[in-house]
Amino acid sequence: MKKELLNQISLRLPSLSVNEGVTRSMVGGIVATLDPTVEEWSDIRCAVSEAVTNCIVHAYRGTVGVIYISVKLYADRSVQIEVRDKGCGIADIKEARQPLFTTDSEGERSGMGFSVMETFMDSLRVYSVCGKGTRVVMQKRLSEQNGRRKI
Amino acid sequence: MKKTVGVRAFCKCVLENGELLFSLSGEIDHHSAAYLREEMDMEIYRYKPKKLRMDFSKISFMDSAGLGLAVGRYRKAWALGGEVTVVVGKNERCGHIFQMAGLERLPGLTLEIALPIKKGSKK
Repeated sequence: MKKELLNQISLRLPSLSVNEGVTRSMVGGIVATLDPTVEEWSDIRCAVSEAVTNCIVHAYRGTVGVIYISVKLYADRSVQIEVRDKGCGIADIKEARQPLFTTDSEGERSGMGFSVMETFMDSLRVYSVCGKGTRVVMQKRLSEQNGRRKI
Repeated sequence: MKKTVGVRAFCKCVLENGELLFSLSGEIDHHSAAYLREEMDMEIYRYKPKKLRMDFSKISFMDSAGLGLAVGRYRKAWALGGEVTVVVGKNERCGHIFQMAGLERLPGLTLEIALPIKKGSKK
């Protein structure tokens, strides 16, 4: 059964680290319209922050590329976030998703990005082709709204 | 001159009785961690503290970059002979991520946390 789409936004941002916070604001902004709990809202912002950071640190390492983000809100109160890049891609997705694994040799990356996304969202799917890019799709269903009149 | 565009994190540094205290606030992500790191390392190398305390309890946001920040500073202080305490208190913004990483298993590191254990946490 197809879910009813309530609202969506699409963003295109250059992979500058300052845009990690910009992304959180934008995604937080649209998710807020569903009246999430503070915890749900924080978890979603954190997961998308990790995904965008991966694009900046890994996908477009040493260069600046475009990050494509889409957020879709559905009638069943589920939120779907897609973060896509045209960067270097991931050679071994299974390995990359392991906690503490990182290909970052110089910085202080903890290798926990995917772990955080998996823990804070209900589901995480990662698609990637080396040399072409990566697509991360995350979903989270918010708990029922409390006490507000439906408009 | 350092560019500080969009760095919404702050670090207050206090040296008291041989203990170096970093009080962090604001949003710690990969972007702001780079700046915080410089400031914090400068103080660690200057004072070579026997005790380092990093207080994350007042931060409004943190992702895994905050983890890297804490672990990086711990490594530097530990190499210089210091013991490290990471303070989480009741802050769920950072507590969950620190729990997931199993930080308390590092030698010489104490995690001060007053939160229930959550899913995904390493015991």
